Amino acid sequence: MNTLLLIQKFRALNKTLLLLMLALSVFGVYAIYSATYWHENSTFWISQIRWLFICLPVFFVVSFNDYRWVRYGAIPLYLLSVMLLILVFFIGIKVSGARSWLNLGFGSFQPSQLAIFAGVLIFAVFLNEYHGLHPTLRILVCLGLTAVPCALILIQPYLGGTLVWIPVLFVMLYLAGIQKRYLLAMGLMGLMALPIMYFFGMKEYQQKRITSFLDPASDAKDSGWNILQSLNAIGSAGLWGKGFKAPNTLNALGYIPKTISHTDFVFTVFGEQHGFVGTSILIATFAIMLLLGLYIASQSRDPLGRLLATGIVILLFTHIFMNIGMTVAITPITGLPLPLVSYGGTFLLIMMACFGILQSIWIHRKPLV
Amino acid sequence: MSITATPTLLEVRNLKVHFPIHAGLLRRQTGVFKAVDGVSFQVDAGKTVGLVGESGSGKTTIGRTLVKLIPATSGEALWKGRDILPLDERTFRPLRRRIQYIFQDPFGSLNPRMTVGAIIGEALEIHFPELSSTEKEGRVTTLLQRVGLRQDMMRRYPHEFSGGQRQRIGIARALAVEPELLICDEPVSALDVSVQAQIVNLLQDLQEELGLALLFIAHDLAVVEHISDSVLVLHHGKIVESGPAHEVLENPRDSYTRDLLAAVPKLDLPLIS
Repeated sequence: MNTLLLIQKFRALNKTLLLLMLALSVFGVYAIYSATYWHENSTFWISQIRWLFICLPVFFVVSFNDYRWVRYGAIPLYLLSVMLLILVFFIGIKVSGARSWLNLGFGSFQPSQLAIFAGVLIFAVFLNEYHGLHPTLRILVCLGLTAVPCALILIQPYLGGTLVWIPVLFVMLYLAGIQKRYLLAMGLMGLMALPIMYFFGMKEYQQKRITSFLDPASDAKDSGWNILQSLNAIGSAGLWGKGFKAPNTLNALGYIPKTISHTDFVFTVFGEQHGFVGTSILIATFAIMLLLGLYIASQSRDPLGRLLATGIVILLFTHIFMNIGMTVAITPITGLPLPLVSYGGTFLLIMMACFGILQSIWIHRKPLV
Repeated sequence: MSITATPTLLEVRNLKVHFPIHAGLLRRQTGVFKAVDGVSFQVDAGKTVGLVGESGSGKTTIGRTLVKLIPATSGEALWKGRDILPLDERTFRPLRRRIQYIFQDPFGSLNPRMTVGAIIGEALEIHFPELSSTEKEGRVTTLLQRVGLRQDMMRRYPHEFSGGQRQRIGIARALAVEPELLICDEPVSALDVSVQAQIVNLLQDLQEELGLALLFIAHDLAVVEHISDSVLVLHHGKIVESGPAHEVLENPRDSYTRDLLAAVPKLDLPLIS
């Protein structure tokens, strides 16, 4: 790629999306710092900056390359993610009761994040290339593609990493032209399987998460603790919040567990410090970002781009909705991080790749002049 | 010779609180659990009545029924001669001011999403709506100081306080509406022993200062003996013994009271001469 073309592509980037992405990434560092500043020798925010510098080049490389590479790259990436998920089963490291991570020496890597990204790519490619197949066959293939990584993620066990596949699969099938009656049938079968899943597919702590979601006070000292403390932190913040580094917050006094205050519950900490106004601004920023993603999907030059962009938007939305939802008790605790804000290198890398693909779809929607 | 009798604030007559027991697939009523079964006693102005008994004996149910958090099955509770049990919420509200409740769990009884000032101020807003915000703040300050807390603490949240401090906040909230009777439902059982003494002494000081009557529910006999003028011993929802505190606890007549006293752990150490 020559320099002139590179400059042209840089100019063609969707500046609003780029700005929002960078703003949220910088905000993420701030949020992680404000969640952990009181820890002894806390370096999470520095580590997040380091990851940001590693991930930004990935973002630009993915952005400047025509997204149609996924037609060749999706299958190897999917197979790689499945292999890594199998590897986790044997040599994975356990964090918070789930064997979800691989130790790479310089850091740890969560293959389930790569798997869902690869899932979006492979769904888009398959549904685009084989749109002539009978709907049942297309659904069965997609279900098969979902089942393998989901089963491997479920035995880790990482429920959130499995749940995130469901909305992505549904929306992409719908966009690929699968009739509503098939989706409705799938949905009904899923609902019918819920009790079986609950009683036979879930571990005790996962069942507790559901019951504590329905009634957190029933087990206030154990499984309901995180939800109740999160509700107290956000609920006590008022309109403007208690302020940055405010003393004696529920976070600073350790009521929000140290292990999750900068990851899954970073929204709680931000909510406590910046109140209704701060959280509204953050949610509005996410909403604009998602709408922009859908706009990019609508402007795509081909169905592949449209499928990819929508799949990514749904992936982002699911993470945002489930993460913020669990902190305010409208969804169960599933351990899904908040895009660009929660601490974590793997997830940041995947998010940057997602934004890279969105930008690539935007840049390559028409020939560069 | 003139006799000045202490006026009776509350007289409970044959109070019964029964709960239905449901079982089976259709949740049909299969029986009745008699949590309180024909209890009668009275609380005089400025006096303390101790209500003791093991867990599940019905102590808390009595307290909660008297403030109408639980409906009574039958019986009467006469507040200055007027039966409060059949009253609807609207009619009872002015009397609710007169009978306040201090809860057992200082960690669960304060709204964690409100500042201490707002928690105490809320009671004032409900019962003294005519007060201006400056007057309310002044009252909150006085109440906090009365229970041994600092004025600046009104801006803090419950999680910033220890158990003993939280119980003081609960007491300040109860006092805010100028009650005549405080129902103290095991107010010290969740606290450390050293803090228990502070809270009991605070209640006694407030009683002397404000002329409050206390219905002191507890299972700790030492605390009850220390604070009460008279004691009621409750077992399986019935009063098995009652009388002046020192008499009941020093010369128990009922076997259950004797068992309760025998269950109090004693330090059996050799004396060092």
